[in-house]
Amino acid sequence: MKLLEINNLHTYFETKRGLIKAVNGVTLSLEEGRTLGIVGESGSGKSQTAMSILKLFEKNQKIYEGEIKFMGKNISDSTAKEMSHIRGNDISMIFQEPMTSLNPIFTVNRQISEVLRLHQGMSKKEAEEQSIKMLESVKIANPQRVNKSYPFELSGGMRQRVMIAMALACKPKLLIADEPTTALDVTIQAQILRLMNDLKAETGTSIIFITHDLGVINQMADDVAVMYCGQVVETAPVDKIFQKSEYIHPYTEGLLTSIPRLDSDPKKRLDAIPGAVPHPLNLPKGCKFAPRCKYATDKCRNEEPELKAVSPDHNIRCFFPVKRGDK
Amino acid sequence: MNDKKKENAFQKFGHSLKSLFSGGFFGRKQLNVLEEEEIQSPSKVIMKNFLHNRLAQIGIVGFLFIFSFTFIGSMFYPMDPLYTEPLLQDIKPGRGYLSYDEDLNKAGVKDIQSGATFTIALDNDGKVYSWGQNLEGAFDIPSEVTDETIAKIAVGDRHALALTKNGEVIGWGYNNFNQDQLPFEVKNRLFDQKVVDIFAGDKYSAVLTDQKKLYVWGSTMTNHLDIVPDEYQGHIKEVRTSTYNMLLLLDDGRLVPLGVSGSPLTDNIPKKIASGELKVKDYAMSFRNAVVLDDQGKIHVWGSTDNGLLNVPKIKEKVISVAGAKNALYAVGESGKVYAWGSDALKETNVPADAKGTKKVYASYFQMYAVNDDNKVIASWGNNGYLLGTDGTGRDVFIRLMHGGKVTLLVGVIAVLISAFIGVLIGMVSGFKGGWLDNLLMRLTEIITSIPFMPLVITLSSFIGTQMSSDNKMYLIMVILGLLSWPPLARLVRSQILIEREKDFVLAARAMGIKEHSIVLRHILPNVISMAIVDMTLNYAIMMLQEAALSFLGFGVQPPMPSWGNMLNAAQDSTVIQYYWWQWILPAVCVLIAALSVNLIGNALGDAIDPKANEK
Repeated sequence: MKLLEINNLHTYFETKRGLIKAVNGVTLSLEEGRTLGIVGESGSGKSQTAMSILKLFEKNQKIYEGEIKFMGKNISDSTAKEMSHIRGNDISMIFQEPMTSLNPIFTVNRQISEVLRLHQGMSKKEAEEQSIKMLESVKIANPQRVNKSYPFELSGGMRQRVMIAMALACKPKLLIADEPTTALDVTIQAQILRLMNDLKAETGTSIIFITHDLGVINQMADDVAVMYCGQVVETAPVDKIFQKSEYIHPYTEGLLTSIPRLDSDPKKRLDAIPGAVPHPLNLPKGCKFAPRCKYATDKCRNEEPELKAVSPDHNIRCFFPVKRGDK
Repeated sequence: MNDKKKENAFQKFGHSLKSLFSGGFFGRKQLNVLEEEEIQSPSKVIMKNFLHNRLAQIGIVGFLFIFSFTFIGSMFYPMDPLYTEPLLQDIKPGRGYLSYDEDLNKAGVKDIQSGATFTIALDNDGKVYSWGQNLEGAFDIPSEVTDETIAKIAVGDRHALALTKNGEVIGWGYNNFNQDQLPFEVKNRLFDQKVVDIFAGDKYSAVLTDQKKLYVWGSTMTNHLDIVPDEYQGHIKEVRTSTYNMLLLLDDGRLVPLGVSGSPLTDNIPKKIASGELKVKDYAMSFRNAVVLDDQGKIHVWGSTDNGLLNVPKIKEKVISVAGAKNALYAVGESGKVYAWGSDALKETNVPADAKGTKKVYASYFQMYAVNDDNKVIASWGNNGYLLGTDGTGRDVFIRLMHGGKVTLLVGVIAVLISAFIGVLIGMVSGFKGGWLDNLLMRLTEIITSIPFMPLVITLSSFIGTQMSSDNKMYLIMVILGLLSWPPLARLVRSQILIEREKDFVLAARAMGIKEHSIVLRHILPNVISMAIVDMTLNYAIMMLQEAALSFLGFGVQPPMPSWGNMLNAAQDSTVIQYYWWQWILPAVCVLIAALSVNLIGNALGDAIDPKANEK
């Protein structure tokens, strides 16, 4: 069953200099119990897509078009009150910066308990017990002590564990992780990723995992969506992206080739995608990736391609998808 | 397992030891030292940083000192704001007015008379003693007096006279009305008479001769005491003095008044006494009252109703003597008990327990002495002096400092609370709501900031203030101070909220489904409030100074209600600056200590909350 379906989602910012199309027609879907990895460069609209699911908007932002179906129910036009029932309870989110995502002046216990008491109607004592259990489940060595600690007493990895514990406290159906490991060092990163995988296996929570790191995607995701300029340019199961597919989007190819590999020639320069992401106020006509694409033709520069299936579970937004092994 | 238990037992032992010495400061027992160090709430850390700051310690001590001085002190020393005592104006700091000279008891007391702040006594050997505080030199007994054997003494409020065995009158002390020397006219009349008794009152002196004639000189412009009717001259037996009147006992038994007429004292003399029908055994005068003891041992009182001097206590025994201070009257019963009534402003009626067995009370102005059958002083009571002197209307500076401080500190607190309430509210609304409301509120704060403070307060105070009681005016000042001083706080709160609002934990809280108002009140506000508290503390010092400044200029708290500011008002007089330092240096020091301590506390709080700012 489909847990989450996003159809043609547009979220725009109204600024003095013009309309910023942060999410510009995103279509995604997530099966229950699976992990969807969203990957893309900075500014590609990954985080904004996640925020749009929870309707965590800035004052000058709103959904202009499209719908978000969660468990078959359209939540894109629900009220603030309805949303606050969903947030933290059915859909939780963890953020990139564990250092600042916890309120510095309250204990861990108070912050986890607040969510539990709000959504589950627990008493103070029940909530405290549950909070310790949650800390245990995220493999914190001394949950009683950490429960009474203040954020500044904890390391970044510990804080991210606390954030995960808090996010999972109400057993949500969906966990959105917005670059949860970016601010952590590599060993902690590995621990956190393993933890998330374990928790997913235990609780069956679906995860949307947002990152710019294809290595992490490979480790975490079941399905992958590649985003560029507020659009999904490619969706596929993770193994198809990395190895098996016949065709691939030129952008995805660029991303893959820009990763240094153990077996690559050390004297050869690393392939990088030339140029930069276009300014959101000044998007190119036609394919958004065309100015940076080495395969671009006049058609690419004038017409905008649609997301098209190249195989049943593999969609690519490109007129001329790259055939693997062509190089 | 066993080892672990052992370790635990060890730890517990160590902790009980520690808590023994630290008085339970280390609280939670199951934690070891390191963990205890770790788990400390930010507010605790702030408190710790704050309390370890040397300047903060000084500030706290200073503020506690001022606070206990004003709030606790004023509970023990009540104040009557309307009290004035012209005779005790501008008295220097000093105590011990009642510490009489024990040598006096060796030969026995013949007479004791007090001036405003000093007492002069005569013993049976004719020796003169003095104690208390010197006032205009009245305390310094001249060598002519110490060398001679003295028969009588007479003491006015700030001068004294002595009559030698040879009938010579010597005066000393305040002499602006020439009350110290026998004037030429009186000397002329004395060529065939001998002085048998001398008297002194407020800046005047008098002599009674062997021909029963009375001559008065000194300050008699207002009381006309120098006009002794001819019909009395030659018949005057006894004399009692007061500020505006004298009561003369004539040899036919009549009691007649002298001086300013038309007061209850002169008009309400009971007929039997005025006519001489009732035999007067003893009598005494206070400022505007008189008491007469008849030969039956009963007393009769008349005069003004001031100070409850007509409310004579029930005396069931025979009275053997009476006495009068300035604002109180005394009667001594057969049993040696002293009955006192009248004003207690200077503890005049607060007769000590060791006054039992009294034969006579020597009372004049504000110091009283009880003497027993052996002519020895057994007790003294009344005004024992002023620790910090008196002000220009005779009020105790010490007591006014306490009560004035209360007013100053309170005005500051209320003003700060008003300004904090408005400031935090406006800052919060502005910071959270944003948009046109933010714009409107910020423009409003700019308008308020642009109003010149002092001119507005002075104008308001002189416009509205004239129709207000001094109490209401005090409240007005609080409200005005509060209403005009919130903009900086509002801006601070707004800016802090704008900073906090953008922090990740707010987004995280929203993602957890926590409601907007609860995010505002429970997650953001606590992060802002510490800054606001620092600002309020510093603001408090400013408020106190503002109140002092306004009152100094005469637009704040109005006399007779004291405040440090209006006590400083005295310093506008150059005489006060030159001669009466205690009237302006002391309130200034108080304002200084209070403002400085509060500032130190505020700064230390700020440093404790934001330690990084200190490192720069």
